[in-house]
Amino acid sequence: MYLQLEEYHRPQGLEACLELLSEPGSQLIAGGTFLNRRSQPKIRSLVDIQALGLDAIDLLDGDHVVIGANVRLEALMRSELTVGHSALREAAASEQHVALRNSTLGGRLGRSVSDARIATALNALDATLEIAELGDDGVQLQRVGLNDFYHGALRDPAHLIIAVRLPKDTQQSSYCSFGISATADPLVDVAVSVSARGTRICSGCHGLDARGVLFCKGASDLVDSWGSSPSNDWQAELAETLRKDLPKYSNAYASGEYRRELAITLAIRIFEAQFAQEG
Amino acid sequence: MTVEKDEKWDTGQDSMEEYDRFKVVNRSPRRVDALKLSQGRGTFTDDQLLPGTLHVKMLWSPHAHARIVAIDTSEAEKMPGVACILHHGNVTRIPHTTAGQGYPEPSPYDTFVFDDRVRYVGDRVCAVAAETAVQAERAVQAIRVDYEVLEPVFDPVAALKEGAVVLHPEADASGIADASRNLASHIAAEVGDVSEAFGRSDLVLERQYSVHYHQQCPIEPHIAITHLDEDDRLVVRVATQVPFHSRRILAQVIEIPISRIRVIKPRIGGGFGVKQEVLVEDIPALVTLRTKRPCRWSYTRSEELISARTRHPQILRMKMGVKKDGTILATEMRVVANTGAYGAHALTVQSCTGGKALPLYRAENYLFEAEVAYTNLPNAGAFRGYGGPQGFFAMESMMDEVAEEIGMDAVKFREMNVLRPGDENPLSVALGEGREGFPQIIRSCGMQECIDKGKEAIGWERRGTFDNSGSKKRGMAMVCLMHGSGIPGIDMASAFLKLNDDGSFNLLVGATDIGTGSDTILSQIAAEELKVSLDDIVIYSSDTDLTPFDTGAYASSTTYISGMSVKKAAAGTVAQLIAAAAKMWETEEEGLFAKEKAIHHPDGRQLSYGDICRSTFYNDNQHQIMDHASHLSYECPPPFSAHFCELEVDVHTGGVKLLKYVAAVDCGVPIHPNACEGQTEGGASISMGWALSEEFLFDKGGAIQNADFGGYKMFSAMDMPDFETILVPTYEPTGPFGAKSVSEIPTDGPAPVIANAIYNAIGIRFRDLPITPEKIWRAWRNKSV
Amino acid sequence: MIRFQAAINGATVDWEVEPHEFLTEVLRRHGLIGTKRGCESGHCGACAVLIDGREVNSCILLAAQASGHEIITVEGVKGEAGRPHPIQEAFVDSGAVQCGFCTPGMVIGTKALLDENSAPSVNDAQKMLAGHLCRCTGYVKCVDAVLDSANRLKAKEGKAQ
Repeated sequence: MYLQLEEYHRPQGLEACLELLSEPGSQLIAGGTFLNRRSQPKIRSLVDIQALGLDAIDLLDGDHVVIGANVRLEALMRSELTVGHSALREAAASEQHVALRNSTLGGRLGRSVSDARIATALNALDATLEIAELGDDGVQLQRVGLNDFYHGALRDPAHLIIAVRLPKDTQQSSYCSFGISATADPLVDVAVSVSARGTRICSGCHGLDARGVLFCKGASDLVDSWGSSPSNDWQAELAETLRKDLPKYSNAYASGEYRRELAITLAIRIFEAQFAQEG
Repeated sequence: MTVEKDEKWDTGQDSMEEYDRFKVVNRSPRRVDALKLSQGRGTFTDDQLLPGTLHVKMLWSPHAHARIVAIDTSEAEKMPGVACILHHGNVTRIPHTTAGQGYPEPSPYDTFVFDDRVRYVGDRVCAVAAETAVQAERAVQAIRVDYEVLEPVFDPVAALKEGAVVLHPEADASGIADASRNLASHIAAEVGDVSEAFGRSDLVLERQYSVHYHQQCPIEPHIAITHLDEDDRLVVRVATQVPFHSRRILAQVIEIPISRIRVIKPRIGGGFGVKQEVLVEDIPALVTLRTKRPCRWSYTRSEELISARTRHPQILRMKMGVKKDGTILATEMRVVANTGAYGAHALTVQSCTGGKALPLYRAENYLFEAEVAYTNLPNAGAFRGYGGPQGFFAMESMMDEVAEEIGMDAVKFREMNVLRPGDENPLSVALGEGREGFPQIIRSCGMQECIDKGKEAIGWERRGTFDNSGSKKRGMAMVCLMHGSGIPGIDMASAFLKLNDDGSFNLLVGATDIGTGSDTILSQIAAEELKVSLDDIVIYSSDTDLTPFDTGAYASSTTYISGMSVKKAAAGTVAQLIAAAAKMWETEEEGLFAKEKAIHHPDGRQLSYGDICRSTFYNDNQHQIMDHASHLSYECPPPFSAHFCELEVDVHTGGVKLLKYVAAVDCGVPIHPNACEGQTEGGASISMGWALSEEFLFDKGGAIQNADFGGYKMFSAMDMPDFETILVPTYEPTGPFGAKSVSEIPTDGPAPVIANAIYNAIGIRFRDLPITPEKIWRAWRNKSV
Repeated sequence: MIRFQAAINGATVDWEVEPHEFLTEVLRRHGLIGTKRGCESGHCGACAVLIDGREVNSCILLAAQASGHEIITVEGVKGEAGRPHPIQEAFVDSGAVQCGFCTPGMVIGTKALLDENSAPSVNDAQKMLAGHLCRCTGYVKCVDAVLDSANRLKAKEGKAQ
C-alpha cells in the first residue's frame, strides 16, 4: 500500500523526469511489479517513465544491442536477439510465466538489484548501463558496467537507467536456475557467456535475503585457460574454483553451502551441454 | 504370496444395474453456476458493496507471546475517516471457540473477540473501522500499544513439559484438557491389547514421522460484510462454510439473539476448511451494531497466511507388530500435535488422524493416543482431510517400511490386510469425533479394483526397471487410502422443495457450495428423484433466513448427508404429486408413477407437473405441493482410493519432478463424475504442495517470513504431473443413489506416495515433511560418503 | 485526484482516481467486479486484465499507470450476439470451473495466449496457467479448457471461411 502517496507524474522528457526525481520522497516506477508488490509507506511521489520513449530494442547501433529501459521482459523474449544473447531470452522467459508480466528491463535492474534473474544474464553478457542524471548543464549521460553498478557506482536515487547495452560479439550464452518449485524465485541462478573477450560466468542469489549477482572471475579465467580442450577432470577443477569465487549466502529456505553447491552444479551442467553441442 | 479373492470382495456388482437407470445423476451436465462464473458475473462477498460501508483494518501482534498493558488510540481516533475502534477494553469478554462445529462444540472455549493477551505473531490487538481501507490502515499505524513481552514456547513437546510457560491461564476458559500443561485436548483409544500382540509378533517396527504447517490458501481470502436491514436485523454476508454455526456463534459473542441475525453465504472463492470457522464476521458485526453503518473486513493475502487457520502439525510415532506372513497383529499410533495459540478443532482433527488412517488395515489390536499442545504459533484449524493427511503420511510410509522389513511386496502386504466389504470398522466406536462413535460396517468397497486399475494405468510393471545410473533417478510407489462420509450421529442436513406453475421446483438447502459443486449435485439428486431434468430445479442455498438447517460444508458430508435429505424431500414431493393426480383423476393412488415430469396412470393417461400445480394452486384441492426432509446418518461409509506416483529425483540439486500420478477412487456412485474427478485432482494438488514446496519459514520470534504467494509456494500448473483419475464404480446402499464422499480422500495420498516413490528412486526414506530439495541433496551426499 | 481516461471493454471512460489506487480497486469500484483481488502481490492472477492486448495483473498496476491505455476485463470477453465467448464455453464444458474465483483471470490469460498463438501446446498452456493460482482444480481440467478453447476458435474460424 502507498499510504503517503500524493502525486503521480508521467513526464514526457528526461529533464522533467530527473527534476521530479530529485524532489524528496520521489521514486520512479516502470512496470511497477516490484515496487507495487512491497508495502511502500513512505513514497510521496511516483514518477512513471512510460512516456519517455525508452521502449526500443535497437539492433543497429554499431557493435552493441541497445535495449530501452522500458522494454518489457516478454517483448525481450519475442525479439530478434541473436543466439549469442540467448541467456537473456532464457532468463526473461523464466521470469515471464510468473504473473509479473508487466516487468521491464530497467525496472527490474534499477529497483531490485538482487531479485532479477535477468540481472544474472545481463552481467554474464557484460552489459553496460546507460544512465541519465541531472548535471549543471541539463541531462548528462554516463555508461557504467553492470557489475560496477552493483558494487556501488552511481546508485543515486536521482538517476535513471535509460538503456542497457549488450556487446554484439557474444558467440553463445546460457542461463540456468533452480528453485523449490516451478514458479519460485530461484535459490540460485547461473549465466554463462562466451565471446572473443573471454568467458563470463555469473551467479545470482535471489528471493528472500537476496544478495545480488556475482561475476565469478576465477572460474571465468579458468575456463578461458582451457582453450579448446578442458582436462578430463574439468568438473572438479571448475567446482573448486567456483567455491573460491562464491560466498555462502544462506536464507530461510536454504543453507549457504547448499546454494553454493547448487550454483556449481548448474554451471557444470551449462558447460556439459555446451561441450556436448561442440562435440 | 497370493491373496485369495473370496466372495467377500463384493464391490456391490449386484446393484450395478442401477447405473443404467440413472437419467440425471452419474452424468456430468454443465454445472448450474459455471457459466456466470466464467463471465465474471457470479457474485462473491466483495462484489456487492453498500454505500457508506466502513472498512476494517486490524492491528496484529508483533510478539509471539505478550500481555497488553495499555492501548493508546487517542491519535488514531482523531485521524480522518475513523468511525470506530475496538479492543479488549471496549468489547465484552466472552469465551468461545471460533470452530464452526455443531453445538456443543467439541473445541475448547479459549478464544475472545479481543483478549488482553496475545499468543502468536498475528494475533488480534485492535481494530479500526474507517471510511476507506487506506484511512483505516493509517489509523492502525497510529495506535500505540504497551506490551509486557512474555516468553514464548514454539515446540509442542516442550510446551507439554512441566515448567513451560502457560498460554491459557485465564480462569474463564473452558473445555481445555489441562491448561497448566498447555494440553488443549487429549485422546486415547484402545481396542484389544497391543502390548500382548507385540509380544506375539515376528517383527515389531517403530518409526517416527512428522508433518508441518500447511495453509489452505483459498484464492479468495476471508471476508465479511455486515449491515443492518430496514428492520434493524444484522445481515452478514460472509465467505463461510458454516452459515448456521456462524449465526449461532456470532449471536453468542456479540450478544444479540439469533433471531436478529441473518447469515448469507454468497459465492465463495474456496474454503478447504479455513472457512469452517467464525473468523472475521464478529468485528464488522460489532462495528455495524455500534455505528449503524455497513462494515467490511477483508483479509489481505499475508493476513490470510498468518492470521487465519492452518493444518495441525504433528509428530506421529508408529509401532506395528506383524507375523512373517504379513498378517498385522497390532498397530499403535501416538501423536503429539501442535494446535497453535488456540484450540479450534484440536480434539476433532486429531481424532480423525487415528480414526481415518488406523482402521484401513485389519488388526485385532489398536492403540491411538494424541496429545494436542498449545504453542505460540499460528492457529491450526480445519483443513480438508482434517487429520487424515497426517495419519496417512505416517501409516502409508510405515506400510512400505514394514513390507520391506519382512521381504514382502508392498502392494500384496496392503491387499492382504486392507478392509473389505462386510468388515466392521474396528475403531469407529472408540474414535468418534468428540464423543463415542457408532459401529460401522463396510457395505461398499472398490479398493481392489482401485489397486488393479491404478497399477495398469501407471504401468506398475515398469517399477524397478528404470535406468538410475545417472544423476536423475526414477521411482514409483503406491498407497491405499480411506476416509469418511459425514460425521455419524452428528451431521444433520435438511432440504425444502416446492412446486411451481410450470412444473419446476424451488430447492432450498442449507448445504454450502464452496466451489465443490454441491448446488449442482443436490439439484441432480432432486431431479433424479422427481423424474425431471436438471433445468427444472432452481436451487438456493445457505441463507439462514430462507434455507433450512445444514451443519455446513465439512467432513465430506454434503453429497452423502445433505444429498439424502434432498432425496427424501423429493420422494415426499412425488408422493404429494401422486396424491394430487389421483384426486384429479378421481382414482386410487396405487399404480400411479412419476416419469418425465408427469404422473402417469397405468392406462396411459398422464398429468404434467405443471397441470397438477395449476390445478392445486387455483382450482381444486388447493394447496402448495411442497415437502421437506432432514437426514442424519449413523453410518459413515468410507470412500476408498489408491494413489500411484512416478517421479524423478535429481540428486545433484535435490529437485523432485512429479512425472505421472494416478488416483483411482471408489466414491460409490459418482453423482457428477466430472466433479468427482475435479475434487480428486484439486485435493491431490494441495497435498503435493504440502509434501514438497509449501512451508512456513518462521524467524526466531515466531513470525512467518514468507507470508505471500511469492514466498509460500503452492503448486502451479507447471508443477503438476501428468494426472489421471479413475472412478471405480460401486454402490453404497446408505447413500443417495449409491453415493459416498469424494472431496477429502484425495488429500490423504500425495505425501506418503511421494515419500515412498522417493525411497524407491534413491533408497532414502524421508519421514519429515516437507521433503525439500536441500534435504534430499544432503541425505544423498551423506549416503554417498 | 488524477484523471483516468482509458478505453475499457471498448468504451471510453473518464474517471477520477487517487494516485495510490491500484487498477483492480478502480475497476471494481465502477462495477467491473469480474476482476478479483486474490493476493495483491501479482502472483495469483485472479486480477488479470488485458492492457493493450497484453495480460497484466491489475493488482500491482496503479490506475494512474493504466490511464491512456486500452483495457479489457472479463466483462469484455464475449462471443457474438451476446453469447458467451468460446473460451468461456470451453472452461464450462471442461469442468475447469469449481469455485470460479480464479476463472476470470484464466479466461483473460487464455485470450491473451490464443490471440498470440492459436495452436498452443500443453506446455504453452501450463506456462500461461502458471501465472494463475488455483486451489480447487489442480489445473488438470484448466489445461484441457485452454486446449479446447483453441480448437473451438479454430473451428469458428473454419466456419467463417
